[in-house]
Amino acid sequence: MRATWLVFRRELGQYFTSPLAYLIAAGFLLLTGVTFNNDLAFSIGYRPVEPALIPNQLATVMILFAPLLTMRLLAEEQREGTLELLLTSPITDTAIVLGKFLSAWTYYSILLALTLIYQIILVQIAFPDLGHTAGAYIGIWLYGGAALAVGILFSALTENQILSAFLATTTLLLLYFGDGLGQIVASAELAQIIFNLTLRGHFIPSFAIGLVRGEDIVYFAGIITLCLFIAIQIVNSRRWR
Amino acid sequence: MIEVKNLVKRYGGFIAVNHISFDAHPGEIVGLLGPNGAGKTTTMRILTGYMPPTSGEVKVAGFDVLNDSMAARQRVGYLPERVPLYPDMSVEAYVLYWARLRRTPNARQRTQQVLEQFNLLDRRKKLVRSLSKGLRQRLGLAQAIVHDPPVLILDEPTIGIDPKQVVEVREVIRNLKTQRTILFSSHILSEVEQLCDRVVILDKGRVVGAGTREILSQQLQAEVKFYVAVNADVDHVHQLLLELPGVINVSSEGPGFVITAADETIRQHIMSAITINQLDLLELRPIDTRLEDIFMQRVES
Amino acid sequence: MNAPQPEQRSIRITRGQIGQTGLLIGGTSMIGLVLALLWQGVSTLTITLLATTITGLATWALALPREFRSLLTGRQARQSTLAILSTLILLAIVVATYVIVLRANIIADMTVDERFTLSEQSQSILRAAALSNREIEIRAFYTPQNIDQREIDDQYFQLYEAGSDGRVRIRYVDPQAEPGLAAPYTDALAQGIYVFMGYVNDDGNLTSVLPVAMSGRQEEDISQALAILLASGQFTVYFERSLETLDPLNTQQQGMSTIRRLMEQNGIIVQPLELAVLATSNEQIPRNAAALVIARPRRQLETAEIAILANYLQRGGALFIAGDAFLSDDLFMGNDSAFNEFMWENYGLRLTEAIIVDPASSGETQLDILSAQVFTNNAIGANLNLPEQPDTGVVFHIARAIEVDDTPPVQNGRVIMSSPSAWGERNWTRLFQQNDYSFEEDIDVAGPLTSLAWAFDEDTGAKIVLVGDGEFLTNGRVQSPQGNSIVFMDSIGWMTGFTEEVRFEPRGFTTTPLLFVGGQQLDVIAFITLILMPGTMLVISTGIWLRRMRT
Repeated sequence: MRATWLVFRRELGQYFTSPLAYLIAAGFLLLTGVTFNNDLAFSIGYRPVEPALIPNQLATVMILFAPLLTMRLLAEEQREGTLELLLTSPITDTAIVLGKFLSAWTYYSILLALTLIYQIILVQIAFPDLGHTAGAYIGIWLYGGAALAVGILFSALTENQILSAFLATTTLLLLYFGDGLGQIVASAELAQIIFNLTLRGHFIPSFAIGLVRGEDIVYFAGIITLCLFIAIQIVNSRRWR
Repeated sequence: MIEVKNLVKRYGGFIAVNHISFDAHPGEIVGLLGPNGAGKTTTMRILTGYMPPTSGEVKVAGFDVLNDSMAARQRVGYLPERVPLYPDMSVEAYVLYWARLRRTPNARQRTQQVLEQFNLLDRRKKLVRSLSKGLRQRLGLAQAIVHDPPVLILDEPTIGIDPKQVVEVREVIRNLKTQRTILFSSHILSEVEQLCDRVVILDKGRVVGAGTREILSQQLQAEVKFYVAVNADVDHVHQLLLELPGVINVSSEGPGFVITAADETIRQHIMSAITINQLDLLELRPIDTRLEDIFMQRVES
Repeated sequence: MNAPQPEQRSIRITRGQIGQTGLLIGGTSMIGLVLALLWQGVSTLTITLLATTITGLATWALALPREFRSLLTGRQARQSTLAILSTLILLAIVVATYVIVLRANIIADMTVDERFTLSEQSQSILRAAALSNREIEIRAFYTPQNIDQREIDDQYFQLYEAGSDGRVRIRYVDPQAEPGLAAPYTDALAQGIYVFMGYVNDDGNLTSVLPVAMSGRQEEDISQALAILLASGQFTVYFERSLETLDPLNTQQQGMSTIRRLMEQNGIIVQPLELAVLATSNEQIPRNAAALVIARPRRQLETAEIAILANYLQRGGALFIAGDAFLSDDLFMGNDSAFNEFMWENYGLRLTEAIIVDPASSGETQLDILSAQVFTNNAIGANLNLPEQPDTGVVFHIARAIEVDDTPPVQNGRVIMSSPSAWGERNWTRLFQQNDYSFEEDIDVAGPLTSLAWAFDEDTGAKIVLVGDGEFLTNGRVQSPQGNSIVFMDSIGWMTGFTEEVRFEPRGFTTTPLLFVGGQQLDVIAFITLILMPGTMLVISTGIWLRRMRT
């Protein structure tokens, strides 16, 4: 726990003192800002702004974004040689992986919090469905955690940052658009099972429309747990390979 | 205290470390010497807990690196071959981070101490990326000792830094040895000569020589070397020297020759030869059996 | 220094390579074997893969015996097995938790309007459904291509299943996999309707099938359909046929099948009735007649027939009368006709012999009059002339003006009127034969003129809707504009009480469309979100970068 906190603090500090991290934040704000302003223009006097607008956009954005955030986390340590120091220090592998994951998730949470500016603006000019939006944000927060966990998993696998980003993106694409596979399948029942394995399947019929379902929370928490566990096993495997 | 017994490390079909054994004791600096690929880094990585041994017993400060990994790791300070860096941290933050991770009591105080010891205090707010190579080496040493480990393992600590700073680093290492066990690896013979109390020579994963310099040279076939420079025709002198009794080898070096012989009597023989032939002697001096020679002999045999 | 020993090393490499290749082949074959077994069971493919697996692994074991042994025993084996096992156990735990939570059906409705909680009205409809002894099924068609839509819609359907204690069931059908089941719905499916509701027969088919249009207000759509389903069969509307009226069975342009279909889709039973026959056999209008529609009759009513109608109205019946203009001697509800007088005396309504010409508010010709003015404060006119929905207007083609008694014996009122610049043309000969009409001061009636009116007798409960045009009910015109069918259905709804029975009151939503935001405000918002905030990030980024450069 102590070591987890130390690793977490250092990594988070890195995010706050890295010019790249702020560039990413600017990009994040611009992307979501454009969507928001666009929808605003089309909605005036006509319909309410879609409460899950930003979370829906982020669901697609995170597929590319999460691997970018996490690709350096473990791969860079490997390359710079600091992983060697970490593994020869009296700390557990769990602490290393967990600390890094929590720092990435926290950074993401901060970015999410920044996008709440749009809700603040909306409250001034309309009566938005804040409950629906809150649910969607919880969903995209968990979703982001799952995407980051997948990213960390591949960052642990390979020293090559580009490779790790590529593999993570592919996996996330599969997880997100897997239901496209379901469309080719002949049976609607099978398609439903496939749909329920994907990230979309646990976001679209629930968080996106204003519902919070228990099984979706389990799904995302499950992905986070599994990916972190496997990542820890991979880091740990250095000790017995 | 380092105890290595019958260490074997295999990668797939390739044997990197082939049944090596050696010890290192507190108050000693032991040098691990060998060409590239001899297994020095692998051995050190096993000692620090980064990799597991394939077989054999490895203990650091009394703890087995496999079974008591955490305890062993707590007591080791490690400087890998490439100094591990967090480029965007400040010097102070860097050392403090490692201090804390290794449960150093009074981490802040200790960090200040160590920074002072290595003359980094005035640069403590600077980013690691801005340091020169020599300073980085010192920084690496700082993180290795900040938690006051009884065992220090340094992998090629002076590689790639400029000569002036090398001297500093060596001085630092020398000063560290009180009550600590230091193991460091190098393929710079002169360095090992200067710093180490004992030497372990590795080649292709095996120990090909171990002991103090004196012991080692005693283990060599009894040989003496002299350097002779004579103001005369080179071929003539060469021929002359070759005919001396007890001569093993004559090789030219610069304007003179290095003559290797079975014992000290060669000196008189040389003097006689010169006097008899009325040659103009420019220089005659003994050459200490250097580690280099031991090394070359061991490694090539 | 390192004298290479090529011989020894080359043997090692070759052996290693053979071993590795063997392992690779064996490993991939093993994966393929498992997949093939799942997919095909035992077959030539699986046997082949089994052979290659064994061969590959054996090659590896023989070429690199030490590695093989260490895989099975020793620390590597133990640790890797442990790692894999523990991962699988964790996976099993996650899946089990997922299934348990799934079954527990834990759902929180986050919406401010509680869109996923059924309203009081929906719940009472569901309670009524639960009491019914017939099973109700919502049959929805989804292909593998729109599984995501199905999962979304399912969130709503579930509410109905749960709220009716299972009396209302949802059944998903894949039209591609079961084309037989989808066959009866092909037309609707083609028009984009994919949800249907009905009672379940003994043989599993649906009767009284209603389409459910899934618009953005799912609760309204489903509850409304359910209400109609529950009420279906309760109302019977009769159509008069012996007066040469429009024929509800006729599917041609001049027929009235569209109206009939519309009523049947709402669960209303449509039956024919012949006043002439009733008159001769001395019978009355059936007791179950919720309303009687007389659509565009071409002759006058006989005394006996009027008596039957009077009797019906006295019992609280409802009449929808669509008169029209014909150049004929036997004009229905002509100026001095008995029925006209009956209507005037009892209900303060009568048809005149003036055809409405509206130069200011008409369609193709000035005789195609639009619903210029509509009284929307009643059930009949409430859904007409909706703002920004031109399709909710009404168009009459050659309509007679209605005279409304302003001091009526019972309650009555106007619904649709022309514009003030309209007038009633009295010279029908000139109009019909020469298609010519003009306002003549002494002869014609000045506007505005009424084209649709109602009357209601509180004491008897009788209801009357009188319209001066009949053509708007024909197949050719009833849905262009949509308002034509709307005014008819709303009239029926009012007359029969159907509307009250099944009208589903949409509840108000607190989330409103965006209030009007001025261009300036939009600019400020754009500035804050697109320039200020990202800009701050950029500035910080540059600042850090510059500071780094300097140190």
